Amino acid sequence: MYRYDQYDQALVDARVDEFRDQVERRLRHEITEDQFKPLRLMNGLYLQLHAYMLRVAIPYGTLSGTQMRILGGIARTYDRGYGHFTTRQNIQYNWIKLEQAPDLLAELAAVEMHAIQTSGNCIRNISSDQFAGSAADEVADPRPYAELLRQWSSFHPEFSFLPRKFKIAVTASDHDRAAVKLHDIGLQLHRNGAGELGFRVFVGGGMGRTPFIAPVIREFIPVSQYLSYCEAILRVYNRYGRRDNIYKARIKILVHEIGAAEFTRQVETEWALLEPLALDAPAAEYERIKAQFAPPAYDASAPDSIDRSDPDFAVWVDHNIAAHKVPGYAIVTISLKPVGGIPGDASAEQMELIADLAAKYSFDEIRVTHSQNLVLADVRKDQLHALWSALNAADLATPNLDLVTDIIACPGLDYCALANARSIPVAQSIALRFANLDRQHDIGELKIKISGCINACGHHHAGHIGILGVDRKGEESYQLSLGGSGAEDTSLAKILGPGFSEEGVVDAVEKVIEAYRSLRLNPEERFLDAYRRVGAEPFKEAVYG
Amino acid sequence: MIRLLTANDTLTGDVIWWTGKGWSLNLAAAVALGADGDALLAETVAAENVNDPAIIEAEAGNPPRPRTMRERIRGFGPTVRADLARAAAPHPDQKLAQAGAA
Repeated sequence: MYRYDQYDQALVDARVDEFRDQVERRLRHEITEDQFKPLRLMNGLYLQLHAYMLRVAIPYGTLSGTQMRILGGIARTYDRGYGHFTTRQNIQYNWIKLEQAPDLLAELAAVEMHAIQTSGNCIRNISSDQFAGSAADEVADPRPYAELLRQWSSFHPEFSFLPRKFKIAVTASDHDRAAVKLHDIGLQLHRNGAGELGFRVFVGGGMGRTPFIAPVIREFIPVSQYLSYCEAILRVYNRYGRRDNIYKARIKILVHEIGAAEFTRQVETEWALLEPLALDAPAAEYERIKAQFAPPAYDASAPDSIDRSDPDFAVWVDHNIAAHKVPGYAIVTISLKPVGGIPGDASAEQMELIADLAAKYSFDEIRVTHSQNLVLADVRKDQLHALWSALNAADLATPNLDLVTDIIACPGLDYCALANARSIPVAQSIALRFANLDRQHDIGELKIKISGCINACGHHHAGHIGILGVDRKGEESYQLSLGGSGAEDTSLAKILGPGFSEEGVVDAVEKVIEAYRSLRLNPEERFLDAYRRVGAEPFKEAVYG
Repeated sequence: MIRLLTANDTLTGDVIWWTGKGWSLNLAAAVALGADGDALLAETVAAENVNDPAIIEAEAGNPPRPRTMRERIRGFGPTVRADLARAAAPHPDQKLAQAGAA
């Protein structure tokens, strides 16, 4: 994985020193909260319901065992013993004290991490496919390109005060694990007819208050030119994106209002001016970064079979293991969704254990998924059982990937100052209702996503079943939506009907699922496919009568 | 309904409640505001010694019960982590006794 060079480290260290000075001035009341707030937000420090919350960037969701061990230590030293992995592949701490934040950031900087640009109207953490570099179905490793985007977007002077926040995702497979069509820019690596590597460019997707699926504005931009093309996109957005209305400030609104064709024309015009300026990184820099993502030392003699004689282990293998591009290896997803637990939460001890297991079994590297799980991407098949045994002992081997209990949920009103309703208790109640593993497996792939407000951090628009918590005359109420997807078949979920109480929405979800089981063509027909085939009416009938 | 003055401590971010003499971490120590409540809020905002001061409504009691779920969560802690409960009294909205992180 990428290691900081002297420039990366100097930038991050200088920012820690600068923020330490700013905090000291605030604590001496030399600057007001109004003056201080934008400074702390530039360092990822929010004030939430209970305390300060720190959002730490995990570039494209990749971190080393050493970094994960420090994240666990931070949870114990500066927080209350746990952290929350988010839908943007970051980690959040919920109980941070302002006076301790500079020391915390210094600990992060010592392992090449920071919280810069995890807030504010700038380019946020670049997200990517959690299987990158190991997936059997990718055309190339997208991480070097994501890393170059990280370097290009960090402290970019022209794009530090955009009309609104800006999110970029990069993937390299036809099977989309990074929800690229639901980002401000989505970049999909593919090969053109001549076999050259380039990006398909999606612009103007997003969820939130006004969800849109991003259109393609360019079918192919060579990898040698994608940075200048992104620069052109950002320039058009920075020039014409609305700054008068926060609810209409995202690039998706601009693309929608002027149309994809006109937006594309403007980007191409801008790029024609930029491209000759040689803003793209020289080939040597591409190669320097690529070299840092060289494949680990795979053992060519590793046996390409798995002993499935332990039935519990075999169930986990069936659900939490993905195909690796190298024979003898597998990609392991560690579920952070134990039934009745809090989606995405991990204790300090769990983080430290996973760091140890990464060092022992997966070349000391870990990934965070946008579904709030963790991944060990390079595990020998003949070591899977030993790994599973260690995970199982720490409640980290729930075999529920992409099943009904693998629920995405934002922190909701239990933590978040923006939320209107709680998300976590709803996720817990649904998971407990469907705790029986045989029942989960019978239902099959079913992605439930829950947001506690319209900002959609819980991706409810992309849920096969989406749940949105709203405030209705002072009471929590939950809207049910069906038919969303964040995968290559991206679609936006549609509201089914009137909302429910907390208890009522769990019953409604069960009625929807039972309706699906009764109308599916066969057990192999997924919920999403059945919904698309029959439409909303049978589900409305089941829920509302 | 009574009215309470609440804010977040600048140093720690903790939820704090106005006791009539100063600030407390304990909702049970909060005092009902009198007719001078709005003036007290204006003074607090101007002083900038605490973050996000606001007046909220609550039912009288020991401790008082904030009217909205948001303020009850601020007062008692997350409903999903019994171990992180802020006040001695059980959380009025806690149903699942999740004792630990996931």
